[in-house]
Amino acid sequence: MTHEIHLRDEFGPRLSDGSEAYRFRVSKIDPYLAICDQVVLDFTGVRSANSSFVNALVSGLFEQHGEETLGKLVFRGCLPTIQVLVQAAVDLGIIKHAERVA
Amino acid sequence: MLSIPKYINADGLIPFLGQLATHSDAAELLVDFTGLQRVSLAGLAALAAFMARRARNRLVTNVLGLESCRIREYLRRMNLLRLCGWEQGDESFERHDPQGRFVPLEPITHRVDDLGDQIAACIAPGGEDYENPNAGLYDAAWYLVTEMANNVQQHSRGMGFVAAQTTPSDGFVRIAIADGGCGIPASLADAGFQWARDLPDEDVIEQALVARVSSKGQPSNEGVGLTLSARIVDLMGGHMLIASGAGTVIRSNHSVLKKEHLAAGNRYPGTLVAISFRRSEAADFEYKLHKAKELEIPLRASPNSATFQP
Repeated sequence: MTHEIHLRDEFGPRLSDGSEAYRFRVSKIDPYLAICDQVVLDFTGVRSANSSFVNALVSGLFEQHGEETLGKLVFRGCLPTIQVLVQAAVDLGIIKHAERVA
Repeated sequence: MLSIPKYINADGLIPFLGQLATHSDAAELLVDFTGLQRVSLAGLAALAAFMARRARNRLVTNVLGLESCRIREYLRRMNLLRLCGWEQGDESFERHDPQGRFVPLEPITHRVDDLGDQIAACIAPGGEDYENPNAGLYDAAWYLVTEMANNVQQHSRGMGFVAAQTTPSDGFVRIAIADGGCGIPASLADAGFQWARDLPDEDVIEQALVARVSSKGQPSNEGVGLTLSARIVDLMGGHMLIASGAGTVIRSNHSVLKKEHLAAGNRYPGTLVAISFRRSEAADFEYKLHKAKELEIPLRASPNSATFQP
């Protein structure tokens, strides 16, 4: 089963509030990662994002579940600047997961 | 009495912050504007935050010499008089069209993403459209404003102000954000970082610019926002001043660092961040963001990419 989350519908075209992103991750993404084969975070229509938001949304997923999350999570429709932030958040989360496990 | 100096810009800014520090907790204060002839954006933001902090703490502030101040109209246009409560009612002056030139002082009270859009759209008209030539500048301004404003809202516990200005040709973009909160060193000390109590404030600020050092738990941004912001400004060949508590850190010329300590045990009551960079340097913001990420976030052993779909 694939679960799709359309961030533009949830937050509008600009994503900047890390607290909002954290609450959303805990309540609307984490539970689906456990029960779905794939979770799609769809950034289509999102014009701007900052690292506060993207790290709070994405980094914790990888910190908690590790690199295996790469196989479950798909990022769709990212503008190039947003893609840089997403990849940075993924890297950061995986590094932290490795530190926790070590 | 606090006599506002003739010039609050360039080398005059840090001594002015020291002056504010001296008077920050005076139960009654008379502020004399008679001599003021020039003030930078950073000076304006610092002054607004200083006055807001005094009002919040119910300290009495009276003003003198505004009528004869040579830049009274500028102070009005930049919203200082209204925000400080020195001018009320309908505006009796004509505002210049700010589009593409400046954003007057704005309190950081509404949504940060909207505030970022308001400032970025003014500095980089048309840049909201990703295909527009101003899109890089829009993105740079939006990113820097929202990250700094987030810090004000989340960590400073004080009302903050932001202002920006630029010139349409290849001039500089200047952004200043100030708040009257507890400041970076106290914020980190309160979060349990012993080193923030042990080090001088300027060293604490420097540490706060290192990714992951200043993380305060969830929501986890690992201090990356401030770190990436500082690195992006470096990569744009820009200039960044951060003043908080007794410390001041100035980054310019690609990370050359200058640190200062306010004299006589003074502590600036809050945080001031002033950024400047050349407009053209923001055109390739995407590349600079990527480069900043490479420099600040360590590579992991198995660099498998995330899955991106168009």
